[in-house]
Amino acid sequence: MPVRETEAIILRTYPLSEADKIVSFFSRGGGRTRGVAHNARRSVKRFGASLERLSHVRVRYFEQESRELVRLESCELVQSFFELQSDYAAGVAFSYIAEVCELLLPEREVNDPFFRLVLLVMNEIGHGDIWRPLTYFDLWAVTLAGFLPPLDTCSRCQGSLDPGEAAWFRLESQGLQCKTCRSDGSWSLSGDSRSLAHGMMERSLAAIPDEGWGKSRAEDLRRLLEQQVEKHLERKLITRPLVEGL
Amino acid sequence: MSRLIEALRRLPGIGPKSAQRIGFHILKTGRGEVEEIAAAILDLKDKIRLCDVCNNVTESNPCFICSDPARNAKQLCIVEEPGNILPIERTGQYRGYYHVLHGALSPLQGIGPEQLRIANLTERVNGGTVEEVIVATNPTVDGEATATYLSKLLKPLGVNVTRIAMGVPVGSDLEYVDEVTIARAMEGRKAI
Ligand SMILES: [Zn+2]
Ligand SMILES: [Zn+2]
Repeated sequence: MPVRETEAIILRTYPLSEADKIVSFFSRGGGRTRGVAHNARRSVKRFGASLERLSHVRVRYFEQESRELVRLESCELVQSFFELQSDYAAGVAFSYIAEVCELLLPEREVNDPFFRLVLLVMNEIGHGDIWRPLTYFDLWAVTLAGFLPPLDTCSRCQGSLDPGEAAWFRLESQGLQCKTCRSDGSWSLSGDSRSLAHGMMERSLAAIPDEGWGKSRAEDLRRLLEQQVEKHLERKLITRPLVEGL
Repeated sequence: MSRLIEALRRLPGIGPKSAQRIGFHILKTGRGEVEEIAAAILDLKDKIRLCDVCNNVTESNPCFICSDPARNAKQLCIVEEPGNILPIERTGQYRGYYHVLHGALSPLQGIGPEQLRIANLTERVNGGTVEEVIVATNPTVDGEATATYLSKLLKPLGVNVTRIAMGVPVGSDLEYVDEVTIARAMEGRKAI
């Protein structure tokens, strides 16, 4: 039975039996993985608060041949986000990130850039407004998953969209559309939001100023990106309406 | 038989083996006793309802706790589930009233403030008798978020909002307690 020791982020836990828990986690060295934490429900001795949602931990687990679930041997806190999530908005944002990771990441596929993205965004959420890091997360999650539509080309006429120019999109269409090609009932993506997306692609999150952020900023960009995620998953995200309700 | 086992497996904490064991036990049991179990289950569904005041499960409305005038009306303890009341009652140390939310804020399950029974809580607190609201939601991420949310909601109504202390379980060894728990225990320390 090969043993693995690696950093991980806890995505969520489910009760398995009276005593055990199933833990879904994003392992830096092993990708998204599910495992059993024996006795985690009954005793706090071995796992304690380390299995709480979005804890950054160091796990040790056994991979069991021909079994879907690994066996968690130990789990130690590297960084706890427990206190942070007592803020409702931060808690909803964290849950959203956990849900996207759980549904978007293929099982047992190492994805170091995505792992670093999640850690970065969680830390930024701890420092203030949630909307800037959440927008950054959406943009990079969609980019890393490989389905970010071209932001500078009309998907219908292939004409280029000028910087600062608005674009349009709808659930059924493949990418952005220009003013001429847009169809009725499309959502718009402002020129500002397009520039912001470029800025976020080119610079680190720390280099994006946090002044002037609020829910209304880049709301259109997040809508485009979250629609892409849901389209790709072929299902609605449970946490998305709660994020929108903040 | 397989229909019964399938049905039993839907109950919490019952795995395939336990379901089978219960199934065979029922097979051996006399008809009278089985009828009694079935009747008790049906009775529960027919007679039990939620207390209009505190949302606890009850046969009478208001429930026996809400209709007990000897209790301390200045204190109100908020819990997630009806099952959380009994452990607190067993301590014999709390004599106030309760309020059951029927869950905690849990974004991953799509549970926001509207899905919890908060409306009749603010009504009760607005009633003016309550002085202290004790939030006894679970010490989990969701329970904590619920506690903070309620505190923000209720403090402006002029009540004192407190949170049950969280910390080191009795009989445990500090060496094995994680830092989040210890930090909470330090925060909740008291003079001796
Ligand atoms: Zn066009
Ligand atoms: Zn009652």
